[in-house]
Amino acid sequence: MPTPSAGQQRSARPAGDYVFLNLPYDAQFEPLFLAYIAGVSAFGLLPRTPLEIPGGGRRLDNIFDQLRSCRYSIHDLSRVQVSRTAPRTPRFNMPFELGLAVAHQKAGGTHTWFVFEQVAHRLSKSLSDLDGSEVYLHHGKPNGVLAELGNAFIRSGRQPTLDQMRAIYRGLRRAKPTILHESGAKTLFAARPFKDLSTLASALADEVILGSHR
Amino acid sequence: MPRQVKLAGKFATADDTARALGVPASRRDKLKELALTVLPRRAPKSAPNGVKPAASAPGAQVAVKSRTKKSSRNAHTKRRATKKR
Repeated sequence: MPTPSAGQQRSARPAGDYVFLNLPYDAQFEPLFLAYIAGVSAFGLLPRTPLEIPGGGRRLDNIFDQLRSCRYSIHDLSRVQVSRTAPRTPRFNMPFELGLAVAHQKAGGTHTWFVFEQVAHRLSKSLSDLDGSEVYLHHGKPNGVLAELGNAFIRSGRQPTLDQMRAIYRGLRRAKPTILHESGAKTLFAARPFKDLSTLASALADEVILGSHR
Repeated sequence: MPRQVKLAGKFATADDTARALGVPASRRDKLKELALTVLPRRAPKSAPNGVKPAASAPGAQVAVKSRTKKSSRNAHTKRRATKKR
C-alpha cells in the first residue's frame, strides 16, 4: 500500500486527479497511447505526459515536477527490447521515470504508481527489483489497456464499463485525422495533439459516462 | 501495490481538463463539438429482460446478409464449368 503523504500539499487542487503517463512514443504504440488517454479520461482523471513540457530548462527537473504534481502514475514497460536502428540500445526513459515515481512515493509523497506490461513474466527478468509488485498485462492491445485500467481504478457511482471506454477510444481514433490536421502536427506524440486528445477524451467521457449520450 | 485504487476525487469534465492543460475556451468548444460527431452510433437498446427488439420494430437495425466476395463466386463458377467438361 502506498503510504499517505506526510507533507506534500498542493495549494490549488485540480478538479479531478492527475495521472502521469510514462509511455513509449513510437508509431506502433499509437493505438495504446489513445487507449490510455481514453481509459484515464473515462475514470474522470486528467492525463499528463512529458510531451507537454516545452524545451529549455533541465528536462529532468521538469519531468520530476510534473510527476510530483500527479496523484497517480502509469508506467508502461512494453519497450524493453533493443532498438532496430544503430546504435542498438534499449530505452531507459520508462524504467527511469518509474524509479522517480517509486522514490517520490517512498519519500512520503501522495502518489500511487502502476506498472503495465505487454508480456507476462518479462518484468521479473527485466526489472526483478519489482518482484512482488502488481503488474497489469495488456498484451499489446487497446482492449487490454482498457480492461487493466478497470482493474487498477474503481470509481463508486460512475465506474465506466469496458464498452463505454471502448466508445471513447473509438471516438479518439475517428478524430485522429481532424486533430492532426487542425494542429498541423505529423504525429500525435506532441504537446498540442496530446492536449486536444485529452480534452476530446474528456468531452467524450462527459457524453458517454456522465450520461448525455444515452 | 494495491490491485485496485478507489477514486474519491471529483470526476474531471472536459472543462476541467481544458483548464488544467491550458486549452483555450474556443478550442475546447470546438473539441466538444467534435466529440458529438465522432461518437459511435448506439445500437438498438435491448429490453430490460435482455430480449433484443424485433427486427420489424420501428428504428431497429436489420442485419443485412453479407454477399459472397466476387472472387469467391468466380472461383465457384470456374469449378462448376470444369466439372461439366
